[in-house]
Amino acid sequence: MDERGSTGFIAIHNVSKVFATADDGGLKAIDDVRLSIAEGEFVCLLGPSGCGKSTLLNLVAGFEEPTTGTLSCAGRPVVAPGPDRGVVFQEHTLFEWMTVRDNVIFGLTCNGPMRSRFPDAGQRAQACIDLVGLRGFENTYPNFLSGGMKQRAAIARSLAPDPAILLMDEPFGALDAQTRYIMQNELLKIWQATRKTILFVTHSIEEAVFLADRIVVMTRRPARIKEIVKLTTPRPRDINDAACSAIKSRLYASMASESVMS
Amino acid sequence: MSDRTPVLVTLRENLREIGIPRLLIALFLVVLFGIAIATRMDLAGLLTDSLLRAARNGILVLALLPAVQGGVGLNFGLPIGIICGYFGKTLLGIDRVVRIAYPIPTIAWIPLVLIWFGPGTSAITFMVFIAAFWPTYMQAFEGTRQLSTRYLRVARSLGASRKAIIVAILVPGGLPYLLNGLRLGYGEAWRLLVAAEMLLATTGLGQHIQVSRSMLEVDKIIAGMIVIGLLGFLVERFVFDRVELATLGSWYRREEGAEIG
Amino acid sequence: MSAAGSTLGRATTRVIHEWWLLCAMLLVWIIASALNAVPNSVFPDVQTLARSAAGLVEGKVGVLGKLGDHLWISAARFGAGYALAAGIGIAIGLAMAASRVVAALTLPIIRILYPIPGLAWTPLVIMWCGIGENAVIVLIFVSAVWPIIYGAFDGFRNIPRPYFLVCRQFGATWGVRVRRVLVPAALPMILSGLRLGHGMGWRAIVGAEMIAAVTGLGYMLNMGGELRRPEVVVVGMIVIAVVNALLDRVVFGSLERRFIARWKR
Repeated sequence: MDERGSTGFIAIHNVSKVFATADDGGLKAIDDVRLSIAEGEFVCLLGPSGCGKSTLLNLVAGFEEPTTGTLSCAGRPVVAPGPDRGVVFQEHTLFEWMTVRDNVIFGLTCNGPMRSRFPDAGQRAQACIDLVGLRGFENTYPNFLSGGMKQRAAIARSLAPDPAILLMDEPFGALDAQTRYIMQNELLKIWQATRKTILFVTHSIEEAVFLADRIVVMTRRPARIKEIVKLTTPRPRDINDAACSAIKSRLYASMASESVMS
Repeated sequence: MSDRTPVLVTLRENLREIGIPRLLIALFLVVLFGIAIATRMDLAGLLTDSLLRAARNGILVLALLPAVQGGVGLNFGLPIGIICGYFGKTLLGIDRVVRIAYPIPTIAWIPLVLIWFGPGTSAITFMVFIAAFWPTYMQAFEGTRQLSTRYLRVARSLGASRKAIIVAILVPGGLPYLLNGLRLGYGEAWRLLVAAEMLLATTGLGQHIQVSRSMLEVDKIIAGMIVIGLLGFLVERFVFDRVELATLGSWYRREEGAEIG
Repeated sequence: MSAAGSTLGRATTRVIHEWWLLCAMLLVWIIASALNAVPNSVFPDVQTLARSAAGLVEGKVGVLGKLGDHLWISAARFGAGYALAAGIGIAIGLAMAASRVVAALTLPIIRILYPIPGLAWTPLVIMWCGIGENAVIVLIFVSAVWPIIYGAFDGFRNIPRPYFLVCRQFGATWGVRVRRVLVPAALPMILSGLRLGHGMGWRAIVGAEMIAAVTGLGYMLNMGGELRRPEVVVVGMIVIAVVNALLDRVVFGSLERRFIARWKR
C-alpha cells in the first residue's frame, strides 16, 4: 500500500482541483491529495458536507480534470469517464421512462463496443437484477419503486458492464434509517460476491465504520486528507462494540474540528 | 453606484421599476407608430381615430372595473364558479354545460353576438362578458373545489358555522384563484377586444375582403391596437398588480416573518 | 340528495347530477322547435339547424360552399402553421436550453412577444403577405409557437445532470444519448407545450379566417353572421368545438397515455 499515491489500483497522485470563478482567483476544492487504493478494497471518503469529497470522486470518475496531479485506475491514466468505473449517485440515477430492465441494459447497449462485448445483454442484465434482489421487478417503472429499490436498480445498472471499480456518491443519503441499514448490508453482500473496488463517499460516521476497510477523513474545503483510519474488525460489524466505538469516537473528534463554521 | 450623478441613479431605478418587458412593449407600440408613419398613413386621422377608440374602449375598460366590484360582468364567472365548486352535486350540471361550451374559441362567438346585438358597443360589451367568463369560472370553480376538500373538513370538524366558513376560509383562501381568474379573464377580454377591433374594421356588410379596402382599414386597426395595448398595459400595472400586492403580497410577507412555535 | 346503497346507485346519481341541465336545455330546445316557438332569426330550431347542416355539407347554401371544403382548408392551414410552429419552436427551445448565450439573447424577445395575442399581428402580417393562405398560416404560427418554445426550453433545461453523467460514463453514442435519454426526458414538458400551442393555434385560425381569408371555417362563421343566418353560425361553432375537443382529447390525450402516463406517478 503506497501512501504516496503513485501506485495502486486507484492511484491519486498530488491532485488539486481549482474551479474557475467569475471574480477572484477561483475556488480551490481539493488541495494536494495523495491516495492509493488496492484492488478489491472498500474505501470510504468521510468529511463534512461540501468539503470536496464528491469532487474527488468526480475526478476519479473522469467527469472533471484535475488542475494539477494525475489519477490512474488499473495502471491506466484517467482522462475521461469510462465503463471500467461505474457510478451510483444519490438521486436521479434511473431513467424514469425505462423499466428496471431497460435501465440495467442501457449500459450494455449504448454503443458498438459494448454491444459486441455483451452479446447476451438480456441475460447479463437479469443476472445483475437478481444479484441486487430485484427479481420480479424487471418490468416496473422507477416511479413505482421505493427509494431502496431504486438504488438497488441503480447498483445493478452500474454493475452490468462489469466495471472493476464502483464509485458511489452518498447513495443511501436520501433513504430513511431503516432502509439505509438494509441497503448497507445488501451492498456488503454484493461487494463480497463481486469483489469490486469501491470508493464510497459519505458524511455519516456510522455508515463508514460499518462498511469500510479504510476510512479517509477529509478536511473542510479546500479538502486535504486529514487522516486515514484502518478497520480490521471482521464483518458483519456491530458498530456499538468496543473496537468500533473507539474508532467512532476518534472520527467524531476528527470531524468535529472540521465542521466548525468559521 | 455612489459615484454616479443623482439624476442617473433615479433614472436607472425608475427603469428597473418599470421593467424591461414593459419598456419593450412600449417600444413595440412606438414601432407600430413608426410603421404607420412610414407607410404614409394619415397621421392626424390616425390620432383622432385613436382618441375616439380610446374613448369608446376606455369607457368599456373603466366600466369593467366597477363591474368587478359590483359582482356583475367579469364576475359572472366568479359567483357561478364559486357556487358550483362549493355545493357541487346537482350544480355540477352547470359545470358540465360550461365545459362543453369551453372548446369554442371566444372569437367564434362574435358573429352570433353580432346577429343578436348588431354592430356596436353593446355587442362588444356582451362579448367582453363572455370572453372573461371562461377563465374566471374555471379558476373560481377549481379554487373553491380544492378548498372544499382541504380546509372545509377541518372547519367542519371544529364546528364552524356556514357563515364563518365562507367569510374566514372561502374568501381569503380562494382569493389567489379568484384574483388569478380575474386577471386571466381580463387578459381574455383584452385579446377579444383586439380581435373584435380588427373584425369590425375590416369586414364590411356582406362583402368579400378586397385587398385595397383592407389596406385602407389597416390604419384604423393599428390605431385600435395602440389604444388597446396601452390600456391593457396600464390596467395590468396599476390595477391588478396593486390589488394583488395589497392582498396576497402582505400575506406572503407575513408568512416569511412568522415564528412557528 | 346523497345516495345511499350500491355503487351503481351512486354512479347513476352522479351521472344525473352532471347531465341534467344539458338534457333539460336540449329538451326545451327540441320541444320549442316542434312547437315552432324558436325565433329563427336569433337561434335556429332543430329543423333549421338540421337543414342548414345538411345544406352546408352538400354545398347548397348559396355563397357558402361546402362544409367539407371549408373544414379541409382550415385543417390544411392549421396543419401547415402548426407544423412550422412545432418544428421551429422545438428547435429554438432546444437551442436555448443548450446554450446560455442563445437563451440570454432570445428570452427577452420572447417575453415581450408572447403576451401579444396572435391576432394583434394581423396588420403586420397582412402588410407582408396580403390576404390569403400565407397570412393565416403565419398567424397560426405566431400564436402557437410561444408555448412550444417554452415547453421545449423547460423540458430540455430541466433534464437532471446525473442523466448526462450516466451517458458519459457508459460511453453512450450521440445518437443513443439523444434518442433514448434526452428526448424521452424532455418529452412531458414538450408535449405539454405542444398541447397548449395547439389550443392557441386553433383559436387563432378561427379569428384569422374571419378576418383575413375567403375560405375556411372561420370565414364560414363570419359569413353566416353577415348573411344573418344564425343556423350557419351555430353549425360552424359546433364543428369547431368538436374538432378542437377531438384533437385535444383524442390526439394529445392518446399521445400522453402512450408515452407518458405509463411511467409517471
